[in-house]
Amino acid sequence: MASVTIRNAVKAYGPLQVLHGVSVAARDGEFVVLVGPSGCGKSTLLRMIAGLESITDGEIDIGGRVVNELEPKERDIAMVFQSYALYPHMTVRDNMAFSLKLSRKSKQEIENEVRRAAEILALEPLLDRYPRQLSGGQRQRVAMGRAIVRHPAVFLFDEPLSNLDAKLRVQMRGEIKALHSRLRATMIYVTHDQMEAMTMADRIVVMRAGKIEQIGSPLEIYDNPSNSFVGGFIGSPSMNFVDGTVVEEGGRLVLRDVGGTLWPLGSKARAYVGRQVQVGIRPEHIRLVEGGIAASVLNIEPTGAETHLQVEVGGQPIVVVVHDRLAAEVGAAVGIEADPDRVTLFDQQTGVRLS
Amino acid sequence: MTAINDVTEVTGSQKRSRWGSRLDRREGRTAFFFLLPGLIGMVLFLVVPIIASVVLSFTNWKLLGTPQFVGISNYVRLFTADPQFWPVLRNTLFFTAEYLVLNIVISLGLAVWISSLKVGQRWFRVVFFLPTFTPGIAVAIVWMLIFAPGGFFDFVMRSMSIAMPNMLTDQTLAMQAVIIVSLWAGVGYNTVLFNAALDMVPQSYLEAARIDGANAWQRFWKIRLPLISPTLFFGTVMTAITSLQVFDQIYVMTRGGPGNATATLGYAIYQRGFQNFQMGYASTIAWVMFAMIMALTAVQFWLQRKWVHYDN
Amino acid sequence: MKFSTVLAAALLASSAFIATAQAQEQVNLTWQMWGDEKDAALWKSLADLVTEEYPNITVTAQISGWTDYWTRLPVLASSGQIGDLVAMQSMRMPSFYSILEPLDAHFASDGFDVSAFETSIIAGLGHDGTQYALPYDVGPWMVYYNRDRFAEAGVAEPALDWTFDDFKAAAQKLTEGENYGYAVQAFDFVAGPVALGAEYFNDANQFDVTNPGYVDAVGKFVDLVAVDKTSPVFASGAGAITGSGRFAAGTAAMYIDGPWVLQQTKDSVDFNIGVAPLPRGEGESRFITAGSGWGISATSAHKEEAYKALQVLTGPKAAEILASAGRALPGRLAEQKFWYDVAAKDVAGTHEVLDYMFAHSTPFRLNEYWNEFENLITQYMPLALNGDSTTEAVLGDIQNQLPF
Repeated sequence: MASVTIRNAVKAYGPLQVLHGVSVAARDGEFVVLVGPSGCGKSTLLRMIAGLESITDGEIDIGGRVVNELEPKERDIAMVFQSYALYPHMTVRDNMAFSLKLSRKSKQEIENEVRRAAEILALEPLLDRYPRQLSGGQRQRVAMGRAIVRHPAVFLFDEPLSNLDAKLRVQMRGEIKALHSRLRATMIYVTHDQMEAMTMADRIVVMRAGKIEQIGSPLEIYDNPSNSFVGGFIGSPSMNFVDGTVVEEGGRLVLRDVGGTLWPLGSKARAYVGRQVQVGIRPEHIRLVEGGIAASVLNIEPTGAETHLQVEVGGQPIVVVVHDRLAAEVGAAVGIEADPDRVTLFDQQTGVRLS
Repeated sequence: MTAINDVTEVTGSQKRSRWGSRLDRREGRTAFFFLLPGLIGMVLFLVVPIIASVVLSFTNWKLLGTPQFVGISNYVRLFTADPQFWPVLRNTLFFTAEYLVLNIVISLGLAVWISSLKVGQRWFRVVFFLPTFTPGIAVAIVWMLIFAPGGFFDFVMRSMSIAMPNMLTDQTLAMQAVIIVSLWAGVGYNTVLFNAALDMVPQSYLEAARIDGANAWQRFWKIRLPLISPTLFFGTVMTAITSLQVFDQIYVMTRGGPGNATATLGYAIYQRGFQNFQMGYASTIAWVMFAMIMALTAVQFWLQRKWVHYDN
Repeated sequence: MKFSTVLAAALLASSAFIATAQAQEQVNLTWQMWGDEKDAALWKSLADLVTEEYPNITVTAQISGWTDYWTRLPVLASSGQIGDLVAMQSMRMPSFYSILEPLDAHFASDGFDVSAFETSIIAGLGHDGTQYALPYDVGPWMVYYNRDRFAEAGVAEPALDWTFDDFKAAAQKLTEGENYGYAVQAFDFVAGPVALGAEYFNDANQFDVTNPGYVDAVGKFVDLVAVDKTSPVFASGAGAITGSGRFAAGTAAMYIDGPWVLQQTKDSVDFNIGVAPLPRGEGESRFITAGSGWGISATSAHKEEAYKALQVLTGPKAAEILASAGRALPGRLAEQKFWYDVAAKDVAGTHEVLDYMFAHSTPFRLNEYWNEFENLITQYMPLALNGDSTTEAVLGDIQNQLPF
């Protein structure tokens, strides 16, 4: 097991730069998730750690040694691919034993390792099957088994669950998390799904356009996003954003939005009176109250456990999450109220969090 | 049609299946008419000549005059009385074996090399493919002039002070000359074929293999080669079939000589049929060649079970 | 008279008129011939001669290349598409006589006399005593030599009855550095040994190439190449033609060919050439001749017209045209002088040489397997020529595969 430290990694394809000096440190045994929209560079960064892409500038450090120039096989890593990349002409057993055979381990040792990995992942009945005879979930487990037998210092996952259906994805999430606690290995996991990031990570690295937006634990990032992008990216349904000016009205601090609606703000907003800001309000921090801000219902989505309401406030759509069944109709008039202390202020121009 | 209509009315419970088969039949008829041109062509130019050839092999037709039935005496003569048959057979098998192995190895090597290039892949593919669509006769004529006694090859050998018998007059070297020419002309096709197959191997397998610790040679041998084995199989079978029929190069360069060093089945058929006018006998040799090709292909298909990995 | 009678009479008269016109109907004969672009005009002028003489007969020449002609001929014959007039070569007569019409009956019908033609070629264009074609050219195989090289090396030019030893001595003296004294070709092993007195047939006209006389004679020529190195080896793919190329390039001082290439050789080389008979052995000189002519297809629909056309094509005027163009040494004895005056103009002594050779001509013995024999010579002789095998073994191999 080892730590992974990335110092100022830069990646450029000719004149096109895709990573602009990224620095991340994953501690030994930590589960770090790289998350971000498509094209943000997370997969590129992962492949650079693996050694499948060259590094244009900067350093990648695994377990204390700089591995920039090393071949993938010398970096003591193992990778689970999005497409599983199981060798189709080999059985499950041979797939898992492949790397061991290449490193000239004895037959007994290979047998032991393969059996152990198969036990962990419940693959014993499948050992003599070919990949084409397995389901998606089974293939994913074989891919993980292939990684496990190598006893690598770092496990790398490249969007491994993207090809699975929703239910299987949830199940596999749990299995990977369980694997992590069992092996206590350093795992770096790439995904575009913020739900996976939130549920699995020890720490999340949010990336956009080749830069790191924020690094932190899931709840840290959730509660204290460093900018409006992070705020809007993490959390489902996403954070509501309202543009307006901070004013003091009748002793209260409110945001006057462009439609004229007044949103109550907490005491932290005092420093920004008169300023044009963007306010972020999470859907679950909005309640339905009599006499609240006037809104009309646009859409109702009952999920069974909650109800997601899309309402319109002065021409602006706002999403509200209510933790219960709700009897409401489209077009009905409701009143909403946002918890002023849970509201986040962002600079309107840069998106940087103000408070 | 009316009869079927009636039956449809009467057997109401079976109506659905009858309707289905009538539709099928109509579709079948339409399909037949679409296939007819190709079918006519195939029957006229493939099936009929093949049958004629079988029939001829039991006659002693001399091209001028009428054929006369002689039973299996042609076959008997071929296998027992013709002193040329076994050397010809040996030459053919020798050529096929050496050419096939060299062709596959060289074209595979070139294909791997081309796929490893960073620049110029398309250019090299074109360059190596060029000889394929040059007419075989033209290629053979030029190479004959190169290898002729006193020709360019002899000149180069002399100026490098290498003492070597002439390629076309020496018995062992003549066959090698034919093989060299055949390789020059034939490698390009397989190179492009294998190169395309190699490029279709998904990168992720190779990346996984790199991480698993395979070096370039191991990646080639254990991952790429098994994954292109269907294409490799196709290339090998086709090359084997065409190499058993080798004719152009031999006709132009050596006429089966010196001695009978380069006399092969294909050339023997031409010689007996069109130079010596023994059409019946030539047909016999043609059918022996056909049997050999069938046998070789059957062997290859049997080997395929072990060596070729199909994705589905 | 009644109108209907007048009409009937008019119709009768006009049909009689048409009938006589029918007797002189236009006949177009197809004439299969070999040649290249240069020959095409010549053959056309011969065809025009026919029409001049017989206005109702036109002859259209269908010209193929030399090798193509022999590949196509059997195919055309067996598919019924052969022309009315067919060109034939004496060496291939035993294979193809069956597609030609026997001419003896036609000769009898108008008292045609074949004595105007050279005897050996008339014999050559017949088979089993029946005449199948009339010749347009004839010639023996002879030695072409480079007079300039002979002069430089101080070698005496060949006498009419020079022996093989003289030939060998000349070849040896003329071989120096890159240049050879002689360039052997496949056919030399037929013409040469015959000139030395050997036979390749037995009395039943079957191949017997392993008889000691023939083996010895062939061996003499082989040794010129393998032992004395006076000639380069030819490769089995190109056995028939490399010698002429070397001679024309000036790198070989002697080679064997017929008078049919005299004109083009003379024009294409930049040195003086001479011709000589083939060297003889211990006995008298004897030379084989060959030539080409035209016959009538056995399946022709217009045999009468074709016979008339044939007479014109092989007649004196046509022979004169061909001879004056240097294209052919005519089979007609009287017209041969035109050829000497043109084709052999700067080649001194041609007339004497050819007269001598025709005076000592011997029948060119052939059978239906001749083609195979020639192919086997081309295929197998290189083995003896480069020393890989002995003459005896090679001829034995050839004999094993004849007749088949």
